[in-house]
Amino acid sequence: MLLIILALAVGFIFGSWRKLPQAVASRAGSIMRLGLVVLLFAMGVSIGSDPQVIGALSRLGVQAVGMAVISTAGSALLAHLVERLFIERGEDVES
Amino acid sequence: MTRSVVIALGSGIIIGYLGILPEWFLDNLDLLIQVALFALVAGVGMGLARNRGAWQAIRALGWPVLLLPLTGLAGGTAAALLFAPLFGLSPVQGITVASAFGWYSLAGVLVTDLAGPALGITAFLSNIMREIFAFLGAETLYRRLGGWAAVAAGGATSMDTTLVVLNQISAGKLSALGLVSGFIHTLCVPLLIPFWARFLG
Repeated sequence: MLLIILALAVGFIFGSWRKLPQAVASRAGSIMRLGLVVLLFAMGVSIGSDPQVIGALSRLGVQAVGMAVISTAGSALLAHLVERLFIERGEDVES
Repeated sequence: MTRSVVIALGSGIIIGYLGILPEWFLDNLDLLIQVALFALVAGVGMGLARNRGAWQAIRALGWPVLLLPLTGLAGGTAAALLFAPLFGLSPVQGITVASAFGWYSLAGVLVTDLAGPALGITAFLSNIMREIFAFLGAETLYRRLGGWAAVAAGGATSMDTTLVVLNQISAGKLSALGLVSGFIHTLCVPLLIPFWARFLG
């Protein structure tokens, strides 16, 4: 968590720097896209190469996947419902 | 974007499972993940500094922005309470497991400590899955239902790993919401798991 806040602060300060070369700013999107692929691949390897995770998945897979699906769906649906009912529709038009 | 997520994560899991990667790569995997995450979150921070519109979602909402993490927390808890018995868990076991909201490293340790290794492994695994589903579902949820659903699905991970995905799919529009929601979730998880674990038989 500390690392995340530090990373945000570093990025924020760097981004606030007015002399930041336009070349860097305009390529940030595609660099991040590539970085995200690297991160996801590494996280996948980390999951796939962990014998404890794979072993437990074969025993408890249905339970784990089931609980993940319902808790994710429950969070998403209630948040969506409240956004729909109570939050002005105006600002969400662009999505 | 969803396709890139599936391909990158899926090929990683398969290649990791097959064990064909050199030892030095696996030894440094955690470092690679930390460095990549640091760089990407710094990139999100850069976007927040440069893109004035990034804070609009929060400024326009004011304090009701807190309803986003609160409904995420309540919705996940209610769903676990109702449906846990379908997967062989008692309602309280289900809520304890779901209360990690994707923070699987903490869930594994804390639930094992409080409720034993069996439920600990379920908590660990199901929260890894939750993070994966948040990645995979983010774009679809955002397009079909809107930003709140995508951010809430990420739970506590909306302030780190899922934040990067939210930032990409929304061209920065969901970064600030993700940070607020993920941060509140992250504060609540270490309190909620012990709270619910007390009710375990």
